[in-house]
Amino acid sequence: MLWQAVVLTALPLEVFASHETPFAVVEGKTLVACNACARERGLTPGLSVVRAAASCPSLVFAPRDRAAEEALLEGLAAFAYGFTPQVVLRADGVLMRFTDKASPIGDPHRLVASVARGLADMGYAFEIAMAPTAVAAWLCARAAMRCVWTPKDPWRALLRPLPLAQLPLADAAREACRALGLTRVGDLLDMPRSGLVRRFGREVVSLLEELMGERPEVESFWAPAPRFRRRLCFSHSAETEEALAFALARIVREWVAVMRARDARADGFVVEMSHEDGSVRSETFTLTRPERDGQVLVRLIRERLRDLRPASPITAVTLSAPLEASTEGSLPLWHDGQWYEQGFGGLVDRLRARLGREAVRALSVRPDHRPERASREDPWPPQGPQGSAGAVAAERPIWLMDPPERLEVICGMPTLRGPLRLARGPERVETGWWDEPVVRDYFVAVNPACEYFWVFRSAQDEWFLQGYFA
Amino acid sequence: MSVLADAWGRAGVRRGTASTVSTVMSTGFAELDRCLEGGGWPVGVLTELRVGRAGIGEMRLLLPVLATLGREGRLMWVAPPYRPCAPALAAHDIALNHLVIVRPRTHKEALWAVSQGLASPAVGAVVSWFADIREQEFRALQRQAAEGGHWSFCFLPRNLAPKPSRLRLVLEPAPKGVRVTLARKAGRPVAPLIVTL
Repeated sequence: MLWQAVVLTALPLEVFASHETPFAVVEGKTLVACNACARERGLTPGLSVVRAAASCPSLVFAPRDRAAEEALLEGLAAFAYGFTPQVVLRADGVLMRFTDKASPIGDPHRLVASVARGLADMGYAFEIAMAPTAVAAWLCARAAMRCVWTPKDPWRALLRPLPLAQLPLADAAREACRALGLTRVGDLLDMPRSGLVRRFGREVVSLLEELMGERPEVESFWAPAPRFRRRLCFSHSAETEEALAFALARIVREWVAVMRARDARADGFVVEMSHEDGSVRSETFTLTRPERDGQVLVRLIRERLRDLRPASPITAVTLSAPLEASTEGSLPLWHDGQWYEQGFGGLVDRLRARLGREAVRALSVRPDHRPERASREDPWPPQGPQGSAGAVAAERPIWLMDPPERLEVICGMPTLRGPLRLARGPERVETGWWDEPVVRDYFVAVNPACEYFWVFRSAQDEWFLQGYFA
Repeated sequence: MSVLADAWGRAGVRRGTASTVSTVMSTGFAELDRCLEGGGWPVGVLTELRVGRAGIGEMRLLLPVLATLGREGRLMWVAPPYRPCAPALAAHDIALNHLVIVRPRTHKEALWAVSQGLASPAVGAVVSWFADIREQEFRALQRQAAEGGHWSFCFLPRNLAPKPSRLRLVLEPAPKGVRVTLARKAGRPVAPLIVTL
């Protein structure tokens, strides 16, 4: 059995959009995390807010967002689930259990490398380690060991020099260790177990036994959620479209990693923007073809956001999408995105994302004798029968007037830039008695400038222009 | 490029031998083919079509080539002036499920939509209608048409200032057809001709 631990070393920071200036996350009155820029100015987690603000006046604070962190960890678990069905959620990371039965491991080094690559793609700061027990893997990841130990390695001996501080001990036990001058894991292991139980309680010994693999570990495994949902908060509201697009691109990176891990593809998703005034704007994206190429998805979002004029500054953005296993497993992965991007589906999606659903339209023929109803122009995709229109349709004009335009009648003859000569007709159209009775006599008419029109005379003896023989 | 490759294999398409013109597709009208260099509509050229008023036979002049290009590729019409009549187009062999009509709200959106169509290999031909277009905008579309290797047609009002196009046709109504004046093209000038539709 092997355990892989993934620790997000800057989890409180990950849920906020990145900053170029000193930025820190605060819980209570102390800093829990600060970005690289803040660290350069000497700030460290654990510092009080007052002292931090005094030493770095330009520091921006944000309160810790536990709910967003939990959502992020859910995403991380979903990603991990792609490698093994046995995933354990921890407060700042995940543990993945690999048994030969549940998931054939292959080369552990390559496995760790591919997980690390996925994490790097998602843009996280992380530590990763693999060891034969969960506690050992966790300890190594926390200690930034980047180790890959299998049961064949002398891993028990390698654990001994690790600092005790990284073990999940209770505060009282930790204090007691410090008082006794125990600093390394080995120091604790060398103590007689019976004395440990007396001094620190049963839990410490259980932990040591789990660490050394002498006692089976009891873990409850994570169950995957049917949806991906990720929220990113702006510590100061996003003023620019760039900042928003950047944040969304980051969410999409995570989302794509999760989709890859779960072999899912998106055929639609929702982006929600929370505004400073409390309003929420929701944008729904529908794709013509299931997709999981990050660049394609980011481009779609950018096209839609380009013309977005937020009424008030945006404070948070959420992306949610169903995570369903792909039905198109046979698609070639390597040129996947490129093929789609250049293909027609990608074009329609981009047009719709930028111009709106109503702007991208398709024509269809409807079985109705009234010309203005026989031809339909609806939002893409084409609907209804595409059947032959019959021989009569050759006499139909190419441009339709909807509604028909009334023609001026001079000396009993309809006129349109000159008197009209009726070249062919009449063709009687008489239908629609069930909703809107129509009796019309249609003619092909031509004016002195040799323009050809399709006109009709109504039952009331009025003349209308129905179309141009363009 | 599969659309192009397919188009080359079909009847009515010739690969020009002259160095100036690469590929053309027959217009479907013998008298017009004779006047156009290479013998048809050129690929990679934003063909400028000037009409005084929509509805004078300008579409029937294009439908044969659009029917051919729309069989394999897709057709994109950006901002047509009226509602196209589906049965009439179907009767002219236009594959309706291959035709996408884009109704942009602004001039900028229209330009963007045309450029997207010109960049997509899935599109066989892009037809656009503009009330006006600036010279550099026209040049940008022209460049994209050349890069993408598309057939593209741009309808403009007759009275606009000349655009830097490689091929410009002025269309006027005529009895039973349309009068075509080749206002700008390579090769020797030709007199206006009447294409019977």
